[in-house]
Amino acid sequence: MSAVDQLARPVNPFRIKLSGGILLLPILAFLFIFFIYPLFSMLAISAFDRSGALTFDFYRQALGGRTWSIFLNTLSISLWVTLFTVLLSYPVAYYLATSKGRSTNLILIIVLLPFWTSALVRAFAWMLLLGRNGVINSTMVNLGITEVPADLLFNLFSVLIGMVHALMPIAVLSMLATMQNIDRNLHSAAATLGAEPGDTFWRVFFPISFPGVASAALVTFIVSMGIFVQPSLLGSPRETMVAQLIIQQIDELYNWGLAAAVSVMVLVLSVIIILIFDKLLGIASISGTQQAGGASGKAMRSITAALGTATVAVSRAIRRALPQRKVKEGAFRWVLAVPTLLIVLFLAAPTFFLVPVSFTGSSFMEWPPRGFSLQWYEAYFTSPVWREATVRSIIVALVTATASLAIGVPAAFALTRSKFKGKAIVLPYILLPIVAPNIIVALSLFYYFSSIGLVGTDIGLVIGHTVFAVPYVVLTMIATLSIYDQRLDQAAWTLGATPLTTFRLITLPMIKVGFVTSFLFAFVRSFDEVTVALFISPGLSTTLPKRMWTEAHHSVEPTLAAVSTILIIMVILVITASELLKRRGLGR
Amino acid sequence: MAVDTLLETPRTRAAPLRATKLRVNNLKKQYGQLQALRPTSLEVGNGEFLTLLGPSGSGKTTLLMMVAGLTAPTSGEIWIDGRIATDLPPQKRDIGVVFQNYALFPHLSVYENVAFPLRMRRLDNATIDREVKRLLDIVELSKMADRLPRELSGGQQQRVALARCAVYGPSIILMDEPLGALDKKLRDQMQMEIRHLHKRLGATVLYVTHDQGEAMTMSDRICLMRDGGIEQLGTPAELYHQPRNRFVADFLGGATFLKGTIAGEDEDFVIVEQHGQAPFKALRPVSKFTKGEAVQCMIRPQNLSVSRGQSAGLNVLSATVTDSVMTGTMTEHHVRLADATTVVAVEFTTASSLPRQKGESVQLTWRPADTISFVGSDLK
Ligand SMILES: Nc1ncnc2c1ncn2[C@@H]1O[C@H](COP(=O)(O)OP(=O)(O)O)[C@@H](O)[C@H]1O
Ligand SMILES: [Mg+2]
Repeated sequence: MSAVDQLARPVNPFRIKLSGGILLLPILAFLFIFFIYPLFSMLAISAFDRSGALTFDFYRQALGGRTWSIFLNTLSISLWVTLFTVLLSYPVAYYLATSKGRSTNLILIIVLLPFWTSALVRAFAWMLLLGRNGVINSTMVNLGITEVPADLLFNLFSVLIGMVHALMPIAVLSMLATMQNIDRNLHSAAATLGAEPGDTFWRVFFPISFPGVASAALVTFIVSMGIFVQPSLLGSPRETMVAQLIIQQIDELYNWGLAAAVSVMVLVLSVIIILIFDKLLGIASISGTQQAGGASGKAMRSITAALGTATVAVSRAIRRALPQRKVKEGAFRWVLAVPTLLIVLFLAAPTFFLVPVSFTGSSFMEWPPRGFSLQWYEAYFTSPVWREATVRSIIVALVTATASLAIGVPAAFALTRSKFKGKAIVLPYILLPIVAPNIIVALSLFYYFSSIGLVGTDIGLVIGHTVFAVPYVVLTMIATLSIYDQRLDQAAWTLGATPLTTFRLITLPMIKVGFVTSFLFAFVRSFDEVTVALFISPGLSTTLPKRMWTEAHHSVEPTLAAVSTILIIMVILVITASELLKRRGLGR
Repeated sequence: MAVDTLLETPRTRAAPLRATKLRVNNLKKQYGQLQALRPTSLEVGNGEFLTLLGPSGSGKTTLLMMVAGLTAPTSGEIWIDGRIATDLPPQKRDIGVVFQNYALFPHLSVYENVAFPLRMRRLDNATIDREVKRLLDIVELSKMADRLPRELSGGQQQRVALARCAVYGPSIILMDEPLGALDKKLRDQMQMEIRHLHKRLGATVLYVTHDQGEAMTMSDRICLMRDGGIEQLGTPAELYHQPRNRFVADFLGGATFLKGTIAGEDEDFVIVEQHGQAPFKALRPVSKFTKGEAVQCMIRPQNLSVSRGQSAGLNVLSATVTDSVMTGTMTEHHVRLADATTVVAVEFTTASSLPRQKGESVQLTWRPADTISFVGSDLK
């Protein structure tokens, strides 16, 4: 990295400063106008009444009675979700980071499958699995394990399952980012220094991977506080979360003040948690430059030392208990592989139960499906409402992806290639929409758009989706560009190519994969997005997810399974295509 | 350099006899189609400093990692202290490894890095403290004990790695290009430190490098490798003065190669004929040869001299000076022979060995006993 930086030096520093600014300007301005400004102007509503006088009424409302208990409820659900998500994600990330070969790639694809699949589709899948006439209940009754179906759905349990399922892919990815940077030689070094696998894990691997765990927990917690799809489809009124409360206040009661006050509370809590995280580990630790030492370092060391000793003692005891058979080195991996496989199955399997149900002859989503009919596909393809929603979603997603690339790619170039003052705050600023709870961003955009007449327009949708999609584009492109050896460009320049020709013939072919991945990312983010659509595309001009959401509340017909099946097939096609592309890209 | 004294007794300077510490027996490693290490056998004496030398890709790391137990051999055996160790895990082999990029634990301080192997052995805190401090003293890093690895310079990190490897007293220390990442000056200094440490600890060292100078400076014996096999194993002097083939001669120290054909024999020598030039005498090739066979003769630059006259018993070729430079202690003469081969002769700079004029006609002279010849497969 630093060698490349130094080589980049001789170019006129003035030009770099200027071009860095120009490349970043669009994204900074866009996010300011459509993210920061709306957010703050909405926050203002929480503290002023209709006449414009300062008031604490809304906060008084928010801190009392039902609202306060929903707030606490949200906190406790989010904590549980975070705990289970992190616990289940760690072995998967560990397995992915420490093994190589073809199976790793396959597992990664499977882990990412739910990430690409619509949150609504996944929620439907859990409704089908857990419902009274669902997969689990009918299987248990048929096998004679239980007499009557158990109540698996519409309780805390189903909400937790749905949310953990939804958030695990992100958690796995952020842990993986840290774990993949851990030098493989450290394992070898620890082994030669006398550490057994248990010690190596607890004293070396785990402490170094901890920042990844912490950032996964951070992202999981903050995202879960803004979630409403799972609690409202899979939960009972007792599991109501603040996002649902906010929607209710706006949709049914038009109580902007209270909705804004609750949003501020969630936002403040998020900020506090981020600050605590920063205090304990340093925000820098998200990027892998953590600090050791200090009190927390010491505490961590004694805990991990104890865990290491315990693990080694247990594995020695097991080895002693099996004196005849030699315990192979690979045994440790098997102990890990089995739970990993189960967790991966938990991630991937549920949605596929929707496929047979989409062909059912009955008019309920139930298991097992009865008979065979294509009526639900027919219902989908012949309904103008569904068709229009689908077309709108595709167009909005295409435009969103194009717009995100247009402002995101230049920013990624500026962030990886030039040096300027304030670079350290630009990236967190751009990534802010990822950690801000979606519901709050959507609400503030709704408020802002209603003042400038963008509510109900497709352009409003595109803008809202771009706010969410562009950080992913920047992240993906930074990842692509930072491994790109800039000396190749410099070589091309010295060989007589103009900067533009160099970009066309050298840079572009090499970063093509990054481009396509970013585009797909942005496309899927938009295509799947329901929060913004919920507020900004009211009435008939809806998107596909919004339509599915409305339908799900209305009547859970197998049409939803048919739509889901179509979406699942689409996702599999997209992933296969991008895998093929990646392989071709690497194969050169 | 005391070239002459070395020359008188090359055969008597073999390594002193030692008990065998490490024995590698027909060890082989196959990666798919590629044979990273051909079946190789090797013995390392107790307390010996043995260097694996060779170009990149010659199988040095592969061999070292199998000795460490970090790579499983395809076939063959490893014996340590007369006990078979082929299937032992690394932590049971009584070895220490210094990795090329040091592999220091980034989240642990210098002190904790050095303490790590002792904690793994569940020693009590007092012992750990004493030993860590002792080792940090030896590598002169006591003041840096609380720093993190990334707060140290490359040389300091290297010393931490050494201390961590030595603190538990492993009887074999393995090092894979430990000085590869350091600059020249630091490298020279660390070479001395590693040698001192080796003496102080009395450990057996298996050292990997691709730098012939480093290998010559540090080793009791050098094992020169190429394409996954051993080319020659011996003391630095043996490899330098009695290279088994052209590759060894070329790899260790610069050399001039004269091509010709064998025209006849004369006791210990052969007569070599060259196209359009006077014949000269060279030592008999070690391998079998026939009259008329192509031969290449190696002469070290310092054994060549440039003069106007002739003296009895020396080989002589006429040459033209193309360049002549005084570099300090040594003076380099670049000359061209009749067949356009360019040759470098190096002499001590003395009052009589003034630089020659460009274009000056001179006689290139050297002793037949300094001429080593290779035939047949030794030429590759
Ligand atoms: N894990 C591996 N898989 C496949 N080939 C390998 C692997 N490790 C080393 N090799 C190959 O084995 C040969 C010897 O490698 P190595 O022992 O690392 O050489 P050296 O250390 O002398 O540079 C090289 O051709 C290298 O490409
Ligand atoms: Mg190597």
